[in-house]
Amino acid sequence: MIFWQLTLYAISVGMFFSVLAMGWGLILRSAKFFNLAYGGAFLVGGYMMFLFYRMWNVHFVFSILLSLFGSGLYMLLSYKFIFSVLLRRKAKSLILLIASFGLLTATSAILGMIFGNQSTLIARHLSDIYTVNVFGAVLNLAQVVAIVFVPVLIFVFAYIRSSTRFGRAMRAIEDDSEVAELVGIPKDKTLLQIFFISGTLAGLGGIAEGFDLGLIPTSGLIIILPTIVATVVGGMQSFWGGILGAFILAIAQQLTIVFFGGSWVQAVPFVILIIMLLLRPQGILKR
Amino acid sequence: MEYIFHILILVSIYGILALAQNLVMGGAGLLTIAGAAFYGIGAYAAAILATKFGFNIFTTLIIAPLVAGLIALMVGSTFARFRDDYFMLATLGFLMIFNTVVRNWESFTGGSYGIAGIPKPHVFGFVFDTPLSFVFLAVVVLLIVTAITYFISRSSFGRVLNAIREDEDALAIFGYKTSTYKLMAFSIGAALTAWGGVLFASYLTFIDSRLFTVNESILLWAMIILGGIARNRGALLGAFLLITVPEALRFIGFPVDFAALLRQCIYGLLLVFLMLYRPKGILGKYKL
Repeated sequence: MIFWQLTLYAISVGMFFSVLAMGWGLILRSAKFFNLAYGGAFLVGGYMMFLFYRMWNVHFVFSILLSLFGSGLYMLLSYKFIFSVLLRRKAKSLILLIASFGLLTATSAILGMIFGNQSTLIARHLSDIYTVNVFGAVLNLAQVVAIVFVPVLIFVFAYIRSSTRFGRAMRAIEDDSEVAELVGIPKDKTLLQIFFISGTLAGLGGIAEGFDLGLIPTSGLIIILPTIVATVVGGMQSFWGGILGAFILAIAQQLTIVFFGGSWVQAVPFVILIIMLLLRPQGILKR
Repeated sequence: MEYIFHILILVSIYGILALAQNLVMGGAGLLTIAGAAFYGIGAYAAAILATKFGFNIFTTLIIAPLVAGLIALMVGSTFARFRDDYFMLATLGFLMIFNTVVRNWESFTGGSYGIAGIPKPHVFGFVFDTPLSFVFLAVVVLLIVTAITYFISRSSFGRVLNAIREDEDALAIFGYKTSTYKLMAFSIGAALTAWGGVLFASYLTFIDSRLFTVNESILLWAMIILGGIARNRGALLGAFLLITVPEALRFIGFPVDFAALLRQCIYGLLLVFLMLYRPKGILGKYKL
């Protein structure tokens, strides 16, 4: 029974990190730097949802759409005004990393000033967090939605990536952005779209976290490490790698909770990362 | 007057931290965010030794760097194989583990209750309990750290580190064991950082787990990069500017929590603007 419960937990956590790793991997592969501001988009999405849905009583669907748009816009603007400038200058990846870390710090500080440092739950009333019994295991609504909805999202994405015009442009830029530009792919426009989509995925993660556990301004930093680890461990050049990594991470986290207790969960990504970088630095899956 | 002494002590402590971390970040070009962890290790080593085992703070000034240096040696032996982004990622993970351990190991570190009643240092019957005397102590330690970092950056060891920063592969071809040099820079930086922690713990007489988070490391980054990465003078200038200028916020009269967040926001934006407009900082000679 406990095993079943833990399996479902692991799946829902895996789905959560799959979304995050998918969005973060998009930027890593196309713009080729560690974008920590991704954690900022996560926070913007979650807190906007809190603002619209919980505080201003906007309809659920509109709140979600507005929050996703907001987090995408955050990422798009960060590209437009910060990262594209640095990328055009051919700055080292460390410069971009420092700038994105600065942006994440500033974003979480600003959100902390507006919403306070305490944990913020988005749920408006009890029915939002009510639990569902799945063959004896108890899950909350956010977890059920994650398990049902995320696989659809993943396959839609895989389809866009493999078969649409935008997906092909994206893959060409991942391969070699200069050659892609030479053969007439609009690099800047495609990158803007990639950053926007990446931001909405981060925002989706933030909304889910806000319904599930609640948000604090430091959540952005706390989730960025497991997100990066999931992407790197699975193989950062591969789309499916991030999803594989997310599930490895989720299973390792559940096992840690069983054997060592919940307070050590934050240490799991780090341990996996070190083992991985020593054994197989290129990640599990190749492209 | 007391207020000026307080600022002087903080400037000295952060000067020590920035100089020590600049040795790793500027000297060897290893982007590390673990600065706050070694700062915390120094502070906790001093606090635990002084309150639980009755050590004099002066003795902990010798022991704490050894503890921090040894821990850095242990974790660094794995980290030294990594480069750039991955090195930073590994140090970020280390900092988070440090925070987790400190928060959860209540019997040893006091958890979120922290450790109170850390004594002031005393030697030959003289106790450094007045602000003025503590200023002297802090400035003396700062001068020692300044001397050590200047000595290192002018020694052949320092030149090898700079060469690693410029081109690690080329240096490896010349037969240098670059990972050993990186490991040594990381450990020496950690040991010197611990001094700042000891002084801080003894000055404040109270520490808890919230004092040594990633925000402190971001502040150190901002100091080092603002002053000019790889310049010892720059680290001191950055520490001075980023301690004194935000003090102005205190007089505007924001609530404490709000002021802390506002400072954090300023440091973050400062990093973004430095990267955009002047990545080498005020005094910089080395282009990051």
